[in-house]
Amino acid sequence: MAAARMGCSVIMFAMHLDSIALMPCNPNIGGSSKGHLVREIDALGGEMAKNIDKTFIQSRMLNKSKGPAVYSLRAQADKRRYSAEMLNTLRRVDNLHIRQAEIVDIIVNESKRAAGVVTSTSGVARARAVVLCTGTYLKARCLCGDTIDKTGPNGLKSAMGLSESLDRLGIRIKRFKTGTPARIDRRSIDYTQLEIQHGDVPVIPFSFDTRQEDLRREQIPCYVTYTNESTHAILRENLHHSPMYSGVIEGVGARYCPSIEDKIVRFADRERHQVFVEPEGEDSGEMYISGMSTSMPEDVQEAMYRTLPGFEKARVTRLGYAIEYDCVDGMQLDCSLMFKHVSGLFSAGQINGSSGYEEAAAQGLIAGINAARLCQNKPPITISRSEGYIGVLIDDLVTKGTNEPYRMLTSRAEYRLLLRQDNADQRLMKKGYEAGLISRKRYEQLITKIEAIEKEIDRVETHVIPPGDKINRFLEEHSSSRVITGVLLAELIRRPELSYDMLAPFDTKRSALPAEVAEQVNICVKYRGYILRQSLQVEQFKRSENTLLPIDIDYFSINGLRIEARQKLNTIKPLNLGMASKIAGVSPADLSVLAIWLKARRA
Amino acid sequence: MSPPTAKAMNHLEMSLLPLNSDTIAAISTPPGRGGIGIVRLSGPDAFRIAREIFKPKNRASSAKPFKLRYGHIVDDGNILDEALVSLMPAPKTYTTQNMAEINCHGGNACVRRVLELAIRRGARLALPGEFTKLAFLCGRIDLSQAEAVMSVIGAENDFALKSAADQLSGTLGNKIRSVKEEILSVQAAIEVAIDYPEEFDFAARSLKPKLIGVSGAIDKMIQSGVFSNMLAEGINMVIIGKPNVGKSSLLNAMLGRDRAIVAEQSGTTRDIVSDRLPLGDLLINIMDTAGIRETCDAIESMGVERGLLAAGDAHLIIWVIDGSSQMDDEDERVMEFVKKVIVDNGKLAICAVNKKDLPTVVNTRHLRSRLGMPCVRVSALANEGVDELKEEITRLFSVDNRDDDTLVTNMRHIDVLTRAKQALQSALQAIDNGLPDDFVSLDLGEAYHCLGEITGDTAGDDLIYRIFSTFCVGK
Ligand SMILES: Nc1nc2c(ncn2[C@@H]2O[C@H](COP(=O)(O)OP(=O)(O)OP(=O)(O)O)[C@@H](O)[C@H]2O)c(=O)[nH]1
Ligand SMILES: [Mg+2]
Repeated sequence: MAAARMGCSVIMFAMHLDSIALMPCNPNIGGSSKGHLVREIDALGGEMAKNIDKTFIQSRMLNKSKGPAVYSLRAQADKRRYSAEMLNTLRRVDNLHIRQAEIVDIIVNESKRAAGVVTSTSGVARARAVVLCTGTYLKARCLCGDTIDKTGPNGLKSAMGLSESLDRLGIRIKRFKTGTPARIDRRSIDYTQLEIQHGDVPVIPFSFDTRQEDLRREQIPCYVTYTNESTHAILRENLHHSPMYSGVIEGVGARYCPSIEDKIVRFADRERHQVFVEPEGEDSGEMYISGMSTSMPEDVQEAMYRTLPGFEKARVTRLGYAIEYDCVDGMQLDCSLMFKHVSGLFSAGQINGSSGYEEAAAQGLIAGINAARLCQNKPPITISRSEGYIGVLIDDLVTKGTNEPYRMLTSRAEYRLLLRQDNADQRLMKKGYEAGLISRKRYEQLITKIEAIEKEIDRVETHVIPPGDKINRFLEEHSSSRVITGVLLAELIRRPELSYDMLAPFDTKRSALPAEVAEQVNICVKYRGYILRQSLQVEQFKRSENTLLPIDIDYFSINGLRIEARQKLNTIKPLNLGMASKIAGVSPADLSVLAIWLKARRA
Repeated sequence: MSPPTAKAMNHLEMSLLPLNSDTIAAISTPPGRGGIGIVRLSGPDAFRIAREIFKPKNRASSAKPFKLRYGHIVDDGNILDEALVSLMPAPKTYTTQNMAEINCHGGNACVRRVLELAIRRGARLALPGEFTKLAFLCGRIDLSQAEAVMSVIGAENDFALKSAADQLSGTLGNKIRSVKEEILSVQAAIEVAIDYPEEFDFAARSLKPKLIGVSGAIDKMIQSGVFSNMLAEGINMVIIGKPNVGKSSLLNAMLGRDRAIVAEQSGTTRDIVSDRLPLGDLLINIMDTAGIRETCDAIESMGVERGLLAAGDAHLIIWVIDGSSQMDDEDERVMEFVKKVIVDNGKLAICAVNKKDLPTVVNTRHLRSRLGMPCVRVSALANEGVDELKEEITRLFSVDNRDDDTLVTNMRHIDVLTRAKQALQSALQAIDNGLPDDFVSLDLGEAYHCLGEITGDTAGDDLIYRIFSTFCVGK
C-alpha cells in the first residue's frame, strides 16, 4: 500500500484474498511497546492505527502509573471488521492490484537482482523490487496432538513452493514455531464466575488523526479467570501426547509465548495461571482464551478448558494448535530490510523472525517504502534505534538476529524515555513526509505543534510564581511543601504531586493551548533531568552512527582489536560505529581502536 | 602533518570524539614505588577538580597557564601531600581540552590517592588508552604512530580485562556477580510488570529494602577498597581526650621515645604532634592532639579545633581517660563526640583507661559495655598495658577481623563501584520522590551496566533473558 501511494505500480499477491489483515491469533492490537509501534506506523503514514480506531470493541491505556514512556494503549479488535475495513482501504488505493495466488519462485537477473515472481499456476509478474511477507504460511504445518496438518494458520492453505526458491538464492532458512489457544462458544461460558474488565472512558485513539467523536461506541467487556490444580493435573498426565514434548516439533518457540503445557512444566511451582477471555468481535460467537495456547490432542483440550471456573459447560468452536513455519535469518538483511546479497528483494514480518501483528506491520511499511525508493532511485529511509521502536526492532533483527520468534518489548529500547508513544509524531512524521505518505498540510500542523511546545517550555522554565496565601493553601491541599520565595513554575511542575494542568490557576500568563501541547509540556518539564541524560546518550550514539564502517573491512587485519571483537565484527559487518557499539563482545577500547584505524585509513 | 586546530577538525574526527561532557583522569606514569607520579585530568571540569584538591602554597600569585605551581593536595581541608600542578587551557593541549597535571612524589599509593580524590570530585577514570586516542584524533600524535597507538590500546585493554578476570575469580568476583544478580532481579520484576501490565501487578517501592541492601553491599566493597589503600599508606590514628589525662605520655610510650612534651599542667599540647609507628605489617600515622576543653586561650582553642578535625578524619581514634579519677563533664563531652563519629562515619575507636599504676576508680568492664568499643587499661608512665593496646589495634585491622575480606584494590573497580552506587542512590531517590517505576528501572539499568564494566560484559540481553526465565508470561 505504501509503495503504491508513493507512486509505484504495485501488485500484491495473497494466498487468500479473504485473509488479508486477518488476525489468526489474539484479537487485539497494541499493548506494551506494541502500542508504540502502532503510533510510529501512524506517524510514518501507515494504516494500522486508523484501522483499529475504526474497528475496536474495547480500548484501555495500561501502565498509567509506571511513567509516560511506558504508557501502553491496547484495543480489542472486531476481527471480521478489522480485516474487512483494511481490505476496503486497500481497494481504494490507486496503482494497487490485489491478486490471489501462491508465489513459488523469485525471478533474479544476471546481476543477482530481484526481477519478479512466478505463481504456482506459472503466471509471471515482473517487477523492479519484490517484498516478501509470508507470515506463518511458509511451509507451514499445524500440530494438534499427533495430528499434523500441512496448512497455514486457521486451516488456510500453506505456501509450499517458495522456501526452495529462497534456498536456491543462498538465503539461510530457519524454522520457528508459535501457537494459539482454542476458541470457545460465547454462549457456553458462565460469566458470573469470571472477573469482568471494562474499557476506558473516554477512549484514547491510536492515530494522531482520529477525532474523539469518531471513537464513541459501546464497548464490550473482557473477562479474567485462572487455571487451577485440576487444569494442571490434566496437562501433566497428558504431557506425552503433546507434540512439544514428544519431539515432533522441530521449530523453535518463543520463551515469552509459552503454551499452557510449557508453562506448567517450566513454572511447576505456580499454583495458577491467569487467563483472559476476550470476544473475537461484536457479532462473533467466539471467545479467545488468552494465556492458554496449546497443541494438546482434542480430548485433552476439551477437558482442560472445562476445568476453568465458568467453563464447566464450555464448547470448543476451534481447537488450539501449534504452527511451524519457515523464516529467514534476519542477519542477511540490511536496515532497509533488503537482502544484502539479492538487491531488490525485501522481506518483512514473521519471515524475518518476528512475531506479532504490530511488529509485522512496522516492517511491512519500512520494506514497502524502501522497495518504492529503490525503484525511484532514492536512498532508503531507515530508522535508528534512537528514533523509534521500529528502529530498535529492525536493528535487533538485522544485527543480532534472533533464535526465537522476536517480540517487541520496552526493555529492548535503551532510549525509551525519548521514544514515547505520545511523541511518535514528533519523532517520525518528518520521515513519513519525506517518503510522501504524509501530506504537506499535515506536516505543517506538526511543525506548528512542535513550535508551540518549545515556546511554552521556554516560558514555563523562566516564569516565576510569587509566594502567597492562595498558592500555599493549594500546595498544602496537595501535601506539597509551601513556597516562601518566588519559585519557577517549572520547579513546581517537577514536584511529583503536581502537574502543568493543576497549576493553571496560578499561572496568570498562560494562553489557551491544545491538550496535546499541554501534555508534551508537562512530560518534558516534569522529567527534564532524566530526559536530558538520555538525550546526551543519544547524541553520543548518533555521532558514532555517523561514522560509517565500509562493508569491505577485514577486521582480522586490524591490530589492537581483541580476537572476539574481530570475529563478531567480521560476521556482522556493522554499517557504522554506533551499530558496532551495540554488539556483545565489542568493548569500548575496541571501538577506540576502530576509530583510530578509520582515521588513519582516511588520511 | 601539522596538527590542526580544533576548528579545522573535520566532521569525521568530531564524530569520533567523545562528547565533551566527561572529564577523564588517569595516572600517566608507570606504577612503582618512589619517584614522581603524574595524575592527568582532561575535560571541562579539569580545572575545577584540580582547584578543589590542590591548594597552592603562594595564594597571592595568580595561576599562569602551563606554569608549575607548588602546593598541597588537600582533602576536605586536610593536607595529604605536596604536589606540583599545572593547568593547561584548551585548545593547545595534548587532548585539545582543558587539562590539569598533578605531579606528586609520594609513590604509588599517593598517586592513587590523588586519582581517587579526582574521581570522587566527578572525574571518570579514563578507558585504556583514552588520552592517547584523544591526542591522536586531535592530531597531536603523528599519523605514522597510528598503528602503535592501536596496539597500545589493544594491549592495555587486554591487560585490563585479564587482570579484571584474575581478580574476579575470587571472592570479589562472586560478590559483584551476586550484586549484579540482585539488581537484575529487581529490574526484571519492574520490567515484566511494564511489559505485561495485565499479568503482573508490582511496584518498585516494595523492593526498596532489597535495593538498600545492594547499595550497602556495594558501599562495603568501596570501603574495602579504601581500606586496602589505608593499609598501603598507613592508618591515621588520632589520640584525643580531655587535658592532662596522659595523651602525650601515651604517644611517647607507644613510640618508645620522648616525642611530645609532657607536663603536669593541663593544656600542654597545642599543635598536632605526629609520627610514624610500624606495627607488624601495619603502618600507623600516630597523632597526639591538644586536650579537649572549652578555653578562652585563643591558641589553645585553635589546637582543640585541629585535634577534632583530625579525629573526624582518622581511621582510628584512641580516646584517653584518667582511670584514677571519676569521669566528669569534660570526659562525657569527648565521649559524645567519639560516639558520634563512630556511628555517623563508621570510625573505629579504642578507649585507653590510663594511669592504672594509681588506684583505679573507673569501672572498665562497665565502661566497655556502655560504649560498645574496646577498652584497654594502660599506664603510660609505667609503660604497662601498652603492648596490649598495640595488640588491640593490630586485631582491629587484621584482615580476619573485617567482616568483609574482599579487597578491592583495582582503581577501576573503585571507580565503577562508585558510579554504580550513585546510580542505585538515584533509583532509591526516584522511589522516595514518587517517580514512576520506569525511572527507577533506568537507574537500575545504569548501575547494572556500570558493574558490567568490571565483569567485562558488554551489550547483551541479560535483562530480557532474565525476565523470561523468571516470569511466566504470554498469550
Ligand atoms: N601516675 C601516672 N601519671 C601519668 C600517667 N600518664 C601521664 N601521667 C602524668 O599526667 C600528667 C599529664 O600528662 P600528659 O601526657 O602531658 O597529658 P596530656 O593528656 O598530654 O595533657 P595535655 O597535653 O595538657 O592535654 C603528667 O604529669 C604525666 O606525668 C600514668 O600512666 N600514670
Ligand atoms: Mg599533651
